[in-house]
Amino acid sequence: MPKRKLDPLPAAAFQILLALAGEDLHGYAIMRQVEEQSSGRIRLGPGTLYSSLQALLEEGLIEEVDLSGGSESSDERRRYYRLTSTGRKLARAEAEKLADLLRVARARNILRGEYV
Amino acid sequence: MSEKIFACLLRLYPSRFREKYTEEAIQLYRDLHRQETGLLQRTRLWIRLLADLAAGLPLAYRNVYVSPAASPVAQGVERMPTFRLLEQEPVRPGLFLFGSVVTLALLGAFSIVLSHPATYPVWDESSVSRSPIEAVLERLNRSTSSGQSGNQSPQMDRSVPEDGRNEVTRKDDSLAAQPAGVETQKAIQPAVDSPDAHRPNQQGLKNTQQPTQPNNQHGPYNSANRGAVFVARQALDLQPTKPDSQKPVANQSDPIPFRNGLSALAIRPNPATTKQQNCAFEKIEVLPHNIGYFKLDSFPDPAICGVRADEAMSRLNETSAMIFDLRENRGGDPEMAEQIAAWLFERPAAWTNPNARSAAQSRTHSPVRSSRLGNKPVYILTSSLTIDGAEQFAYNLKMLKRATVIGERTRGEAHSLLNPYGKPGWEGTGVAPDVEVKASDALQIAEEAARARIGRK
Repeated sequence: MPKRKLDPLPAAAFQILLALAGEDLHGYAIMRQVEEQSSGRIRLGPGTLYSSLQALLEEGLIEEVDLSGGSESSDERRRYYRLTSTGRKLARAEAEKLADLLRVARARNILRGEYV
Repeated sequence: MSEKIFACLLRLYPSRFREKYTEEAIQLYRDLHRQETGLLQRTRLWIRLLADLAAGLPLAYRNVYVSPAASPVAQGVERMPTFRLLEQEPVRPGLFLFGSVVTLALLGAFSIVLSHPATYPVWDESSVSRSPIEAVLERLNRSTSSGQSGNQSPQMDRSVPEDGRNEVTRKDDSLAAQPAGVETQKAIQPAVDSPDAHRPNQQGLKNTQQPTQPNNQHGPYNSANRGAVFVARQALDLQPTKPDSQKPVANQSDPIPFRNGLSALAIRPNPATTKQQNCAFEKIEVLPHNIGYFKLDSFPDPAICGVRADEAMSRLNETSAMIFDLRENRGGDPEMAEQIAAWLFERPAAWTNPNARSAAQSRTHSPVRSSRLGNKPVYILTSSLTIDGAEQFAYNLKMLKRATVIGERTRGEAHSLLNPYGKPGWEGTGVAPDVEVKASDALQIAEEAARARIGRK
């Protein structure tokens, strides 16, 4: 059952995994990071963001970390998310799949060298 | 204000999602709202949020909201009986809205369905297959009751004057012209064929039948000669009858226009009933050039013959043109006329019905679901004998410009009809044919016309 939800991996979920590859982030930061790394093409809204995060949590691809100290007000306390090793593996597999596709596209002269 | 709207939208999400993420989502919304200033940007933000709602809702409902680590099963309490409370989720207002929309939609669909009368097969009690025992019992009962009158039974008298008639039936000749005894015998034939219980007897029957064939015009024998009573009856009632070589009794192998369980059952030596077994559908066939030919000599009660009528029409369903031969039609049940006419329309058509009690009954129950005759040319053959219900059939189809009437002016008998066409009915005047020819030539003319019409397509 768990496999079904993220197989194939939705674009939003893959972007979140990529965003978390560098550092642990909270929801809003993930949103910004995704926007940035996709050059503004993918802008997650709160619904997609948290639903995807929940799905990734349930699949064990990411985990929650509580980085904020107890001193901060509850308003400001935000959940941070960290990539798990399973998540990293999956992201790598997905990236390799895309790289394969890219290779094929280049071989077929669909890309004219502007992507290295 | 806008934050409140956003919070309201969040209520569409599952409760566990809201439990966990509402706070963060609202925080996130605040951040976004702070960034986007100006009316245009705020509008864009809201469009984005709405699109996100549409995309995020299905995702949110697919999640189970139980983290693998937190589930009790994962905590190694296997094999221990555990009791978990299923969370009582309060009913969300969104569900009420959803429920009322669905209810309204269903009600609407239901009322639409109601306003389109669907055709349904008329339930025909007598077509229910009976057990062989019941069939035998019934036949025995009937034969003993009719046996009282013996050879003086009325159908005997009736068959005598018809003796002289030519037994070779012409193509468009009616079966009704044959002696009643023959028909009765034909009607019995399926009864011999169908129930298994009779099978062992069949050989013996064929043997015993031979010497008595001249006697076969007597109704009582026809019904009795398949049972055990037959032998006894013969012993009692053996009397010489003059052999009549002209009698068409040997025509047993002749096709019966309509043969099914019905003819096997209601066997009564009454010509009127016997005729009803064929439902007065004298001929149903496909003429050359794929022209359907339906000769019906009355419009029988749909309660008895409704299923048959539909069967007949579906047999002719694939033809390219239809000819209804009403030259010997003596009228009958307006409901039956309507039932047959319903096959000829793609949508309900105005239909005079003397028995109509409401406006809905003055329309044909078209379209008949399986009908493919809705746009095929129709020809109706009439004669000066065509009367009453048959005139109604011809008149309606003529007025609706659905059929070409060929033949002679009809008799002109009506029973106080309401006429929706704003033109004089046929009371006293009869239905004037579109093509006036002698009744005997009508079929030929109609065939030619149909052929020409089909050829033109």
